[in-house]
Amino acid sequence: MPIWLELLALMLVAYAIGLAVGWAAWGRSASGANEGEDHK
Amino acid sequence: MSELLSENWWLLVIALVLGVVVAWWVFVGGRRTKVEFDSRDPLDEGASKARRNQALIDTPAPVPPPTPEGLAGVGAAIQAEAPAAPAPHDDLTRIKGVGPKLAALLHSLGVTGFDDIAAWDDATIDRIDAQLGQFAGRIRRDNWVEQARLLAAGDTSGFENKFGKL
Repeated sequence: MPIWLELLALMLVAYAIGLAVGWAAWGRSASGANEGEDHK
Repeated sequence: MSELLSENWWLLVIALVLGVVVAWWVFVGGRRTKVEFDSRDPLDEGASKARRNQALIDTPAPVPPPTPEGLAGVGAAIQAEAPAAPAPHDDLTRIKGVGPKLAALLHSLGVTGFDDIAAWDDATIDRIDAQLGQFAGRIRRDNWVEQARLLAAGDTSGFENKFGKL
């Protein structure tokens, strides 16, 4: 596997981890709040 | 692999930060824009009218002015002449085989009580049956007349013996 491809794969993994962290920080709480609104 | 990581860690950090920023923009930044558009609640548009109507409904009925001496008793006489309030309807859905739709159809045909159905003869059954559309044939199949006779008489045990539990 060429080094650039390996590096690209690692960067994609890091990007995905960033997305997951962001979802855990803001996305999860926002969807939980919406669920609460439905029960009003 | 470890060499690659140690030499290019800053690239991975940039990718990680980029991912976090994109996630923030999707989950927080995008939502803010949406909230601005949704800030006006369409239900509020008629709120003042609804309040006015509710106030009119809640206002107590006006008290009639006192009757002059010469006209005493006229109000009572008029009230006596007024048609009596319609008799309360029986719940026709108590008849086995009659659901809400069929009960509404019967009401529209002027059939409102068990007494009405109990009094049907063959000719009346044919006439009503012809107006029941997709429910035609139900009167005889489910024996409405017999059911209505028992229900009109208040014979619950007789009804349940013959047609099952109410």
